[in-house]
Amino acid sequence: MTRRSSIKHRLLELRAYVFIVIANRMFRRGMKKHNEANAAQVRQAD
Amino acid sequence: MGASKETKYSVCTVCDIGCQLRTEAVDGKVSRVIAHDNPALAGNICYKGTAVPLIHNHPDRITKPLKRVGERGEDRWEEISYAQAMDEIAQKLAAITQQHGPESFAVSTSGWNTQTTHSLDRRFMNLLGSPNWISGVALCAGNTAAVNKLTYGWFPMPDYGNTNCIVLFGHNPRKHSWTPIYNAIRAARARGAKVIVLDPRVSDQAEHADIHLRLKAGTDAAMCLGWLKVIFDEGLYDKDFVERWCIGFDQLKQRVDEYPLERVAQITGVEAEDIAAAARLYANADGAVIPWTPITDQQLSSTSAIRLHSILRAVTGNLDVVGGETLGGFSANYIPESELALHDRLPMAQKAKQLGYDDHPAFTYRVAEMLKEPTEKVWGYPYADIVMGCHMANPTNVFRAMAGDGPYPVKAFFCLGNNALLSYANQHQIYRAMMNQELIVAHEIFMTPTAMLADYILPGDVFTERNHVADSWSWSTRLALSQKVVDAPEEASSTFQFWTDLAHRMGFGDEFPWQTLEEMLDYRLSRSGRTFADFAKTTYMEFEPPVFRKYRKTGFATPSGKVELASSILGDLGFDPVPYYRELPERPEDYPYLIFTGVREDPFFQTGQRNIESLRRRTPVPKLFLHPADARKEGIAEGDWAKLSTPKGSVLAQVAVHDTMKEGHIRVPHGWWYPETRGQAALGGAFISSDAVLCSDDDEWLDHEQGVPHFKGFPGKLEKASQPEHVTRIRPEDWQLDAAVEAHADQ
Repeated sequence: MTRRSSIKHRLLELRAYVFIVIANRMFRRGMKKHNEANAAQVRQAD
Repeated sequence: MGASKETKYSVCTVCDIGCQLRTEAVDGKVSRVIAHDNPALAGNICYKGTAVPLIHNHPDRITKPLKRVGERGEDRWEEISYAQAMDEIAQKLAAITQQHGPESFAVSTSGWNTQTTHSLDRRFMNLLGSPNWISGVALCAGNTAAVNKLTYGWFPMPDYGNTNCIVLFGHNPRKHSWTPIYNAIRAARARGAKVIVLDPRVSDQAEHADIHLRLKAGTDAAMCLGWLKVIFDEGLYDKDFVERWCIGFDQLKQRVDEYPLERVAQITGVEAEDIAAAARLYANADGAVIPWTPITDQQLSSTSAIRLHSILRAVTGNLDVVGGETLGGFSANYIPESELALHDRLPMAQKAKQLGYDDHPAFTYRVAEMLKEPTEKVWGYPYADIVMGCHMANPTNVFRAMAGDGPYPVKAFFCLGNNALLSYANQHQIYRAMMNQELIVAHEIFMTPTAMLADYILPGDVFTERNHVADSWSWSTRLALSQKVVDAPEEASSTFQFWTDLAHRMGFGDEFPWQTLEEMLDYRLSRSGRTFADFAKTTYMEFEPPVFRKYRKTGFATPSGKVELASSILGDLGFDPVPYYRELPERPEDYPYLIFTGVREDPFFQTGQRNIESLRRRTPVPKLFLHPADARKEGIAEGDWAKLSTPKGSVLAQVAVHDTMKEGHIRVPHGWWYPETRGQAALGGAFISSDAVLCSDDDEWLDHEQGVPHFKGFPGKLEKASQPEHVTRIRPEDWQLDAAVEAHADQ
């Protein structure tokens, strides 16, 4: 077994994977909110 | 009806880091650049970013094509139409390449600045038949990528989020320079990660480091050999990984044994026990990283030093593991530049003509061809352009050929977003090279010393004026949205447009089927089943979830499929397959100082932004950093002007006396010229303070394998001097203040 392939490291790997999956979701949610805010801004300007 | 106001996500290209920010436009003009609305990304903004409206709306923007009317370099121009400029450029380029061969055409570009080339420059050159593409990445990151590939077939990315030890070889990320890395290091430190800094001076990072080794400039390779000596002697390496996944251990160990700590201490000027303590801290950390550093890129033993970083990662078990350095591979969602460039269309006979191919092949096509098969097997593409830097010509060889001292003439030179005159070693040689050209084309947003030497200048666009999906040039799998907020002024346009329009005029327009940047982005995203509009509607950023230790399935992208501690490629090319430390050439007695150049200052990126009042106010003139004892010895005080000379040339700069400096060392900032002296000093003061004047590219000062020049510790001498004639605005108050920039800078 190499140094960083223990169960602990596999759990850390899983955590890193899940972190990115959640971050991608956050980015998508953020974009949705941003688009809504921009649309409102444009409406206000009109 | 109120003022039209819009906010969009933009990837800033004022420097090379690529922070995603928000840009506001009011009535078609960029009004403000503000931090991201995602708290995790909000800290990634520096005051250069805040200054973007001042840069993008600057009255000196070049907005129309210019044609030279005076002598080359005289800086006299006439405005012409874009169509006329492109017609004439195409006609002249065709004539030159017909007469001298396609290899007589060279391009120098900076993808960091132009952003949206999408490798169409390489595509154009490959179809035309020229291998002579150069870039600043030959001295910075791109060459590191190429040399990393020799060891394990990819350029790794540090996992700052999970690491427990960060090693900075001279690298000094600060709040307003390399900001996201600075923030990542701070966050890691806050959760307990240790930081080791190797730097001759007490840098900002060194002030807070757990261990700071003040090594002599340019001795990184010897230091790494010392670390390996400790790691091997004390059994601190990952034996299982080395046995199963590495080749060449015995050869490496034999070399390492030639560097007992006493010898390393003597070379580096650092105590043996301090070297050992740092090596132990690194090797024992549960996840450690040695992030890319421009310092190691620019040394006499650069290839060895970069390889030694790679080797340290591998033998300590930090390769492609959580908290270590990951081998990301290409994004599955974005067609990489490696495919767009059409490298396979350039015939082998032309590849072999690449300047540098014979002498210094490490980042040329010669090595790329040797790595083609394993790269395709592991990463799915035969060529891996990581950070654009893996199949380049050697800049020194190109400038020699341009000056008439090469194996064949180079007579046409295009510079895109690249102030080439000040960006490589030996500025006088570059000047001679440019003066010997039949055609020079610059694509720029402002007039630069390089553009002043051109025959034609095409006006470039900026990041707020175009759509883009930034992919870190395949270094990571991050895709970041950058949206157009305003139209480009008058006839300004992208480098994408330039290469597309030129290709159509040169008879291979069929190979450039994309009419707009958005069509190109649609194509690049097509494998993920999305268009650019889909991407921009649904997300501003995405990463591919990481998969660690991928090599267990694929092996490494090297000829052996293993980590090559002894490089089979270097061996086959006749170089030493195992890293070594090369002593500097003997220092002449009358040059008592060690000069290190290429230093980045917060207000500027490379040679840019000297014309932005609020940024110049932060640093009005270049400062040479000097130790107090050296200042006393020379009779020079803080604020005096001094002349710094090397056998290649002299520059003038103001002296700043710092006790953080190592005695006997002088630090020189990079890329200085004085746009305000245009019309008075030659080429906007390009020869007054530019560090490129000082740097030698004579053979004895070149790294063997890559041919990169030594910028970190070459001999120089210093004397008191007068203020340069045309440089008059030398105090902060001589430059206009901008409230937004000041507020952000002082935060």
